[in-house]
Amino acid sequence: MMKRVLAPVIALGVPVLGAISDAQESIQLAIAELWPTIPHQLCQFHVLREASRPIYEQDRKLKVEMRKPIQERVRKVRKQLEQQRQTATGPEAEQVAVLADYALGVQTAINLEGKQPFDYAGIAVYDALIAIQRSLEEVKKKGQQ
Amino acid sequence: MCHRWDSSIEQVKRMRAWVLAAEHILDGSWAEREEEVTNQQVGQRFDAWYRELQALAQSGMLHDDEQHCLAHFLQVLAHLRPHLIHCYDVAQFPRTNNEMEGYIRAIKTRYRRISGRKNWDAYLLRYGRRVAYYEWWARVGSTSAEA
Repeated sequence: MMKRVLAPVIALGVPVLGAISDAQESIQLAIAELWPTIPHQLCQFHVLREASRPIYEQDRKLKVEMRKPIQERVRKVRKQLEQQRQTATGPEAEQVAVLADYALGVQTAINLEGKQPFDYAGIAVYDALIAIQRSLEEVKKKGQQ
Repeated sequence: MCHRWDSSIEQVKRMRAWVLAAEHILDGSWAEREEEVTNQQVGQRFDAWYRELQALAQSGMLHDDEQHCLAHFLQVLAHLRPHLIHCYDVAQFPRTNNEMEGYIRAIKTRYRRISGRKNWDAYLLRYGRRVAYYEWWARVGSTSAEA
């Protein structure tokens, strides 16, 4: 089948200097048969994606684990803040707006996505949550001074 | 709040470092001069690094999850190694087909919209050759015709 697909390329009669493919065996076999002497490169991105599959899966599970306990709480907090925002005035309104931004930040953080093989959602979520936590600690410190 | 996940995240970060290390070797960014990036040089670096990871896998120092992930990582790389490092000795030979896949995906999206169908298989069978030829001509042919 793959040889039939590649037949028009052979019919063109142009020199083929090399081939690149993902790791599909049918393509590998067809290229080896049709152009036995050319370099055949496997897409390195595909190779690393396949090699890192269990690592990525572990990261994904971790993201779900982190998101689960936070998601419901942050929704409630945002709802609560939205209600407060409607009645708050003056400095309280400013404070509520800042807290709403933080809550939105947390919501955004727990929904960050990854992309195999290099970007990991679990790590991104964790780093973002840590950054928010540090920022909140700073705010708390300033408030106490 | 987040510290209960510290050790699990550290573990994933350690494992991601294997992937990034492989990418660093394969992308040739370690070389001071472009000429140094050859199949032989990249291959030597890659194989030396692979042996280090093999030693790590055999050290018995890893957590079960890490051991499992590393075993898979090494197995896939060993299996695909014969075709992994061939692109460096041929000028302009890409090491990934991402660009090509992205190009094909963009064409498919555009013509699916043009065809007005959710599934454009029938359109593809009827007009696919012309679409491919036109897209090629629009990208390369028009510039060479001007020259």
